[in-house]
Amino acid sequence: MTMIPEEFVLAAGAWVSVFLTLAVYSFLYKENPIFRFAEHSFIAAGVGYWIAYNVWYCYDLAIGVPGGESGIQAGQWWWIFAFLFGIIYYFVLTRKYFWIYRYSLAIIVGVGAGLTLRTIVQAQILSLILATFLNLSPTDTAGNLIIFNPASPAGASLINNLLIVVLVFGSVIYFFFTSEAGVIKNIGRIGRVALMTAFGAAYGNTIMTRMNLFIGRAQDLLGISGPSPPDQQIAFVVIGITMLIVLFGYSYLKKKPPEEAPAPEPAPKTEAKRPRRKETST
Amino acid sequence: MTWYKRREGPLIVTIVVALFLIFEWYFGKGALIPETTKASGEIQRFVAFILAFVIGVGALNVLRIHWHRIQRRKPGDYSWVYSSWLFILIILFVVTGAILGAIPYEYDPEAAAYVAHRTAEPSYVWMFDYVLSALDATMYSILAFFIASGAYRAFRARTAEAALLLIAGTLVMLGNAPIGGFMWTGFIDISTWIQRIPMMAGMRGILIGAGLGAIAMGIRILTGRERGYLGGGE
Amino acid sequence: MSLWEKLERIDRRVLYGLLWIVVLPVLYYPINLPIVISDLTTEYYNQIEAIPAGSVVVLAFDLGPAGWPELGGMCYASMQHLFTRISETRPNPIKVVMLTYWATGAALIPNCFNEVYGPMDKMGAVYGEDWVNLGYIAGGEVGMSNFAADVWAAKPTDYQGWLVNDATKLPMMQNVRTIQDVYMLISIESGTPGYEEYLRQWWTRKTTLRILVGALGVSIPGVEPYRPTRVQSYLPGGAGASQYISLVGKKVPAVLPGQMGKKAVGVNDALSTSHILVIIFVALGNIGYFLRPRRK
Repeated sequence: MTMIPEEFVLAAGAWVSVFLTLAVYSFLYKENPIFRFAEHSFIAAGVGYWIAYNVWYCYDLAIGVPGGESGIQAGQWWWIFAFLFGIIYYFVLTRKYFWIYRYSLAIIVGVGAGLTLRTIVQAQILSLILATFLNLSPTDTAGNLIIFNPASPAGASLINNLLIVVLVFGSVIYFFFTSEAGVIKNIGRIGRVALMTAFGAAYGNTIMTRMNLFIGRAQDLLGISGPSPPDQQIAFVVIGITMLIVLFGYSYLKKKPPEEAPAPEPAPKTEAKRPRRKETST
Repeated sequence: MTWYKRREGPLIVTIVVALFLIFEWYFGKGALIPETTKASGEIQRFVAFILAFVIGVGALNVLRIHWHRIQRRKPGDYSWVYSSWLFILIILFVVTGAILGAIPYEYDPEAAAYVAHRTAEPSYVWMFDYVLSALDATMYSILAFFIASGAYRAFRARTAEAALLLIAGTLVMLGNAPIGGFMWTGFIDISTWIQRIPMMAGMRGILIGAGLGAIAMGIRILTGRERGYLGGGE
Repeated sequence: MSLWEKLERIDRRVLYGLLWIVVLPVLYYPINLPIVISDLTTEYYNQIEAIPAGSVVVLAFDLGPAGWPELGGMCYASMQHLFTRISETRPNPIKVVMLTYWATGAALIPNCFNEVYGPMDKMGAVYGEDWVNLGYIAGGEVGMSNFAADVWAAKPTDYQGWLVNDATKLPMMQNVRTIQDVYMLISIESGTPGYEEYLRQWWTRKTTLRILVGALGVSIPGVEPYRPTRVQSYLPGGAGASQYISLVGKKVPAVLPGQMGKKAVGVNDALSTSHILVIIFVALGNIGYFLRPRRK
């Protein structure tokens, strides 16, 4: 790699990344072979990339680096069992020995379940419940009750804290007693208000995320960020125009021929009726 | 069917391991019963190793599917070309990162020895920077267009609740975009209020429910009622 | 067919094209709308400013390339801010441990510090003494639990294969053995494993652990319920990243690359135009829906 000039490496990278970016965006026009190429590249890259990092992690942990305290080289022979359980997991790909892999999976699921169960109450449930028990009479430095503070609309105030308590309570009731009638159902309706607002806010934030992602790619295409801005800009123009021509051409070639007059419907099949047996007198 | 091929064997393993971890946390942690802590730590390291080791299962599965496509290719069907390219790219990633990265071909004057680049292998890093990064980022960013199109074609205030969702979303968008604050600072205040009070309250309710659901699932696993993860068959 | 019905049936590619049109020019010719700093960003900044001398801070890059456009600015600025704090807290500097539970994050850490600094010792921070990059730790939540219980056992080497128990190469790691030795976690993340797993595995072992999160916009609804009791503050998506970059830029203008400032402004403006477009789409769609003649 040191023999290849760095400018060439950066330029090649710029052209490749711009091509792949535009190849994915070509899907916006319509499904086409260029997008399918990018799609398969994405699957391959996503799968292939993680393998190397995990191989090195396994090596450092189980085999170990000389001088370290971990792994078989440090005398921890029991890592052979870890290798064994890792290998038997691969039997998930077979049909005849599928049952072997379940033992490896069982340990993974057991550890996952144990780790989650032992801490979720403290970390998630209790934390959130305790945080909901808010002071319903917040006061300012002079000791006056804050009913609502326009200078800090989202800050601690009677209205805000009461709303939080009521809406959290209502949301939980909505989840747990959805089918009840009467008072419980009405409390659940209040929870629905909170949930609809939450989903609306989540939608607004999702828009921000997706637009940011697109803006980031657009910056790369325009050469505002990236390894080699001039190459990115040239690549954007050249590849963009070429791709548009190819897509329009592909679309034109794939167009259906003009519709012909519909073929006459075939005559309906009629089953030959079986001759009725003449009744014979016996 | 012999007992070790049935699902009860792995179920018992799951229950024993999970109970051991819970016991260690509440009764054995730290200096109380140090052996349990040590054993629990080793089991967890084993599982971390196994999870890293079995990354190849996904890769082999993908390769198997695409190998079938290549074998069963028919005239006029060019999907095998894409599958072949997929094969080549996966092998390239593995060769550059795991194999080439393990070969100490470059001399490091500081270490006065030939060192292996490992995952800093330049060709592997190049493929991450210009292939995976571009594809990963673009695949997720394309959703921006679908969201914009969906906002025009599908997002309708047909009911009062949908209207509430729409209004909340619009106000949050105006608060997030700097132009909203530029037009009127009140948009930022309203957006902040929506996110800190009703949105936070709704999400808290959801998270509490999700936490309780996770406990219910965990108890199902501990009592052996949850068997779906073991797959079909006996 | 009425005008509204025609508008409703407009080809979706026209809508896609409009999005390109409102975003691309603004990136090249920014409008320079002012950046308003939110209290969340200010709190995030202040929390890092208040890190006591000698404390260990874990900076986790739990993200992939998909999240980089929104979170990349946070990574650069957080790294810069922490390295400024290393200089400020001498002779007993804060220690920074970088790691990730995402393999894709492991490649982004060197990208981040190479782009920001070039040779890392530029700000006087010495690798191994003031900061360490442990790289990728496998296992997700299991890996987090391992790390909290025993750092050396969970990750025996750093990102380049140096042993963590080697006192000559990584002296600062000799005092980082469990989560009890960590003062603060800064997690810049784009999914699972993330802050919830950190809360379950790290915070339950050390309830005084301070946690800051660099969150995607979609993650904000999930993080907000934990603030401020469990998560002290978070950066709210791309908007928060731009605000934080401008705050850090005021503190260390000589170090922050000018390009990053220009990028932040361009992103803000493009965010504004794209959001306005989506709001117009929503409004037009609903107006058309209510105004179009109903079929009996």
